[in-house]
Amino acid sequence: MSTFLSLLINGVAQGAVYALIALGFVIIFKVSEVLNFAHGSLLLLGGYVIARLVPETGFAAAVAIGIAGVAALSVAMERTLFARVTRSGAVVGPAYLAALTIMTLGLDIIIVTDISRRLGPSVLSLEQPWGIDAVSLGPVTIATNRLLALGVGVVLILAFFAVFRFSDWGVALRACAEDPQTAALMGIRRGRVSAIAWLIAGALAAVAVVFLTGSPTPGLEASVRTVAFAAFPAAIIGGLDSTSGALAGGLIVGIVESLASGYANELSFLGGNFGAAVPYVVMLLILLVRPAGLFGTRELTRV
Amino acid sequence: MSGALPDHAAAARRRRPAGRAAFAVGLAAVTMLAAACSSKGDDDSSAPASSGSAPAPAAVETGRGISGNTLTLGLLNDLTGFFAASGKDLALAYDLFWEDYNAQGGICGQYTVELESADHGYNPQNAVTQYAEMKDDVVALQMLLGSPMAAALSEDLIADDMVAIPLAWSQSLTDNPNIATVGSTYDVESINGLDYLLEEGIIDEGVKIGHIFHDSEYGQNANAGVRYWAEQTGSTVVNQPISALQADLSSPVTALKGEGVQLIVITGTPAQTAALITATETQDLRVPILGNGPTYTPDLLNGDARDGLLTRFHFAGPNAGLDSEDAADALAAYRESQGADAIPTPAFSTGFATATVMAEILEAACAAGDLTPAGVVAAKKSLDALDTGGRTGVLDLATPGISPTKQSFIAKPDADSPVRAVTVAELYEGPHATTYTRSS
Amino acid sequence: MSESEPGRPTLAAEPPQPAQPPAASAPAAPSAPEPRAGRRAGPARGGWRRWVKPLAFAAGAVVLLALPFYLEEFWLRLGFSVSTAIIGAIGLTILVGGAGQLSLGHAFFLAVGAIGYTWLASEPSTLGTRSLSGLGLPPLLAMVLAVGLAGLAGLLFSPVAGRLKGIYLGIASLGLVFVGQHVLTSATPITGGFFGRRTPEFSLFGFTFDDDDPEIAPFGIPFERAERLWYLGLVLAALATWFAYGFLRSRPGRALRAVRDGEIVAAVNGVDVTGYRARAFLVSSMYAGLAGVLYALSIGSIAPESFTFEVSIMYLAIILLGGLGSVGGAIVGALFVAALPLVLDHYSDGLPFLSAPGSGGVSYAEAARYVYGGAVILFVLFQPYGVAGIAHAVRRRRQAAAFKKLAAAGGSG
Repeated sequence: MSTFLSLLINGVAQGAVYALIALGFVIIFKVSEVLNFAHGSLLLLGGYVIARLVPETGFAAAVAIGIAGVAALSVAMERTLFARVTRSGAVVGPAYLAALTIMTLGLDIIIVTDISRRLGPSVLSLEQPWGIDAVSLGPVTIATNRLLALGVGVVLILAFFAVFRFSDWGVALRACAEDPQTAALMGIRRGRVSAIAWLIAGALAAVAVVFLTGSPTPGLEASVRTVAFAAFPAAIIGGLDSTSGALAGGLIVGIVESLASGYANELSFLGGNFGAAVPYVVMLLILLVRPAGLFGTRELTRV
Repeated sequence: MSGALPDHAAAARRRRPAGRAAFAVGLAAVTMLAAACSSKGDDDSSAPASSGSAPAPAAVETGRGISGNTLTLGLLNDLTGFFAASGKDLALAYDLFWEDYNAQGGICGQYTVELESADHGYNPQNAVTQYAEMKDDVVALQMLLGSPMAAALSEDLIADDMVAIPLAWSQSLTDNPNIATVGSTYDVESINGLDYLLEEGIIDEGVKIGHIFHDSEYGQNANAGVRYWAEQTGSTVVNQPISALQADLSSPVTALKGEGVQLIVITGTPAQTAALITATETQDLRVPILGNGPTYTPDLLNGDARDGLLTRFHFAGPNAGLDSEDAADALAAYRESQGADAIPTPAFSTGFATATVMAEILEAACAAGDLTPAGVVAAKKSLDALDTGGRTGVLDLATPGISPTKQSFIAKPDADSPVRAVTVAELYEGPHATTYTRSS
Repeated sequence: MSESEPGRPTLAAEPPQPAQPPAASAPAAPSAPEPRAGRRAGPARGGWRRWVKPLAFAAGAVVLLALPFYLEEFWLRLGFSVSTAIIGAIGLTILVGGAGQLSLGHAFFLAVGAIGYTWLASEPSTLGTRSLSGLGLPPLLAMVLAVGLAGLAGLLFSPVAGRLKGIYLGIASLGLVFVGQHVLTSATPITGGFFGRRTPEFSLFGFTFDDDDPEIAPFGIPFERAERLWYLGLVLAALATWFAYGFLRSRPGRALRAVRDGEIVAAVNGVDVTGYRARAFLVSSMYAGLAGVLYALSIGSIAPESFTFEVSIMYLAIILLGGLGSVGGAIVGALFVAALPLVLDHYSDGLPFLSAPGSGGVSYAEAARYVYGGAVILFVLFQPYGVAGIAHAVRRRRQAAAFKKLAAAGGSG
């Protein structure tokens, strides 16, 4: 029982990190209908910047610079690349979305190649001050890092909900997502809304990587980026255009992954590394029943 | 361009059938003409190196890969993939070893060894392509890194009379008579590690073992050894298969804690060793840990896993460590090229061990007067008790299908050692390794 | 690049498609700005110009057929890889460009084809402790069945695909790749597991595509594996190209584009949207299956690493660079993306800005990835319709010039 509880709590904490990453996908998707494949490389970049700065500036400053840097780069990407294509109007229709999505792939390839080259095979530590401390909750022991991830994740997501609901930007974003033309007519500057969305997504990625590379994982490796692949199904399960869905999806993926990995021996009839494939299996099953995810908006077209 | 197509199609449709036929015949004729003019076949037929023109005083027969006084060996390395850290140190070891060997006269006292290297980035497809490119230029493969690559090339090696030294120690590779595995295979290695821990009183018989392993040939081969040892000693094994990319081992550790294991064996990557140690600290499961295969690199001591590594970790490997006297010169050479504080990974010494074996095979072929590919294969198959002076166990390369030796090396991390590890048992063969036979 | 389209003469045998203006088969650019019909009507195209394209094609065909007599094995192997990529890319462009369905699952269907062929054509074997199953069918039959299996996998996925759109479909199909990786690693008796498994050589009625058996040496040039596979790749890529042109211009092809450009309108006009989407998946996955078989033949073995997410991305980049929906573009894109890393590798010694892999500098593999990532971005920025878009622009400029001349002539006369 305590094994199950441990796995569950660990999964929830890991799920909070996935939710942060998934939220990044969702925000950008809402404003531009682009799935940002470069998100994983932003994680990697943020981690790399922080790890390199930590020895000189200390943890807090390094994290602050890392978050600011990734957020700035994210906005820069939006301004110089995506906004250009959008503005030029050179591409329209489904080809437009495909082209933008594929452009994020191009960015991902370049950033990942470059950071992996710099990183080489080494594992860098972000020197989180909480190190490998752990907290015991009754029969369950959990890494402080995980607990903090859960706390920070919940706080950030709640804060985002508040911003999303009450701030001008949040209203503008929802208006843009709902009906871009009308929003434009109402004087909402879509470019600004979109830039802020990219800014937030980049910052969330940099926050997530601090916890992703903390205990009990050994630190920053080039493969950290692949975690974004677990956050894809999280975003889809919840519904790509649903912010609360990102939270739900993140938690589901975190828990399922943790359980599948913990009970790997019992699940061995499903083949070895079932834990790696299970988020996608769950996602495919959910999509079969709900094609727009759990909380996504269903497009209603009847002919 | 696609747009051109319809125009042409329409043009062709307009043409009379007879015209089309004439067109096709003309096409064929021009093609034949073009083909007939080729001179490619001429130079291809003279491919085998011109041994006649080279001064060959010792009347050694030569063939592929030897030209004049230069003998070329191939390296299929991983410099950009999972095992890049090891790959770099291995490449350096080969450079240093052969430079030295050449300075002493080279193979047969007359052939200077050159290395042709390719980086497959741990991708079997790349390896197959690169092998095809290199195979006509090399006598043998000094290095073939990675079990999947070795498996992909296994049959080619036989077809091409290519002797290869894999940087992988799974038992199934030894089935190929052209593959020279340098050291004990993973199953034997894990048995030796467990025997050593038992001998030292770190664990007892009837212990409950948790085995975390890659769900691959590498991990499964080690798992076979762990299960054999458990059967023999009345112990039990809890399996936790993981993937090569899994960075977070807290779930497997939670499960093992729930099972109440008293020892954890890990067959994975160095980063996973660190992840395992931090996860066990976090969950307060401070049991001894045994690694086998490439589970340790010195830079792990810079991370959070340091204390756990220094107090609870041993690792078993197929070759001597870098703390031996034999390795002192090599270490000095390493530092000369990499900086005074550089610390090589254990793979560096593996490089010397495997290079030594390749040199012995080539010298044996030379002694038999036949350095052709077939001659090298025959020489490899003739070595049934190759002693490398302690760089690895005494090897039986003549019998396919068995671990070439039952001797392994047990080491543990040590912060004070110049190479951050000390060998605690050299050429160690535990009682259960002696009785172990492959279970197939 | 018309010489890369060896399949074209056969088009002559195809019945004319009066309903379709010929130029629309270059539908590279979905919703391309201008109608292009009737542009060939002008008298300017008379006389010798009629022969330029057939002759250019003939020259291209001769070159392609004669190359094995001149090129070294490396280039022939590269050619076979490019043929493979062409076939796979055409399959994806039918789905993404033709039907507007984003698929990141191409690697999965490649894997089905590759494993299908390997399993069907292999004899059961035991390598050490591993015993592998196999049916030992003749390779040609195995190839056909493997393509069928991939098509079946596409059909099985189409209920999911039919319900999903855009990005949802993209990620769902990405899920296939991850699940496929898991199956590939776990179903050891069939796939060889993590380790992979050897692919049996291809043969046609006793003629093997291997170094010998039978040994042939036309004009004194030994035809070995690489030479034989070159022709196999050439023929299959030609057939695949020919079929794709036919398919895209056929009724289902046009129905698919209608679905792509406006699902509701298409449905109102009586197009069975779900049915055609499923068909697009069927055709596309069969192409991928064939590409998978060739891929397995070119590597000589199958392993999970050969069918990762990266492969899906590579194919997506190919069709993007070529121009979504353009068969010709897919061919050019395949030539560029599939050949670039290998060519850079081949010449890496001679390129001063490249350093040895792992030495900290930029290696050929990394350089290739920079170029390929950068090309993707630049294409989207400046040439969003890819190579086919460029071709289209060039043609329009030429037509405009011809029209001006015509108008001037008309004016003076």
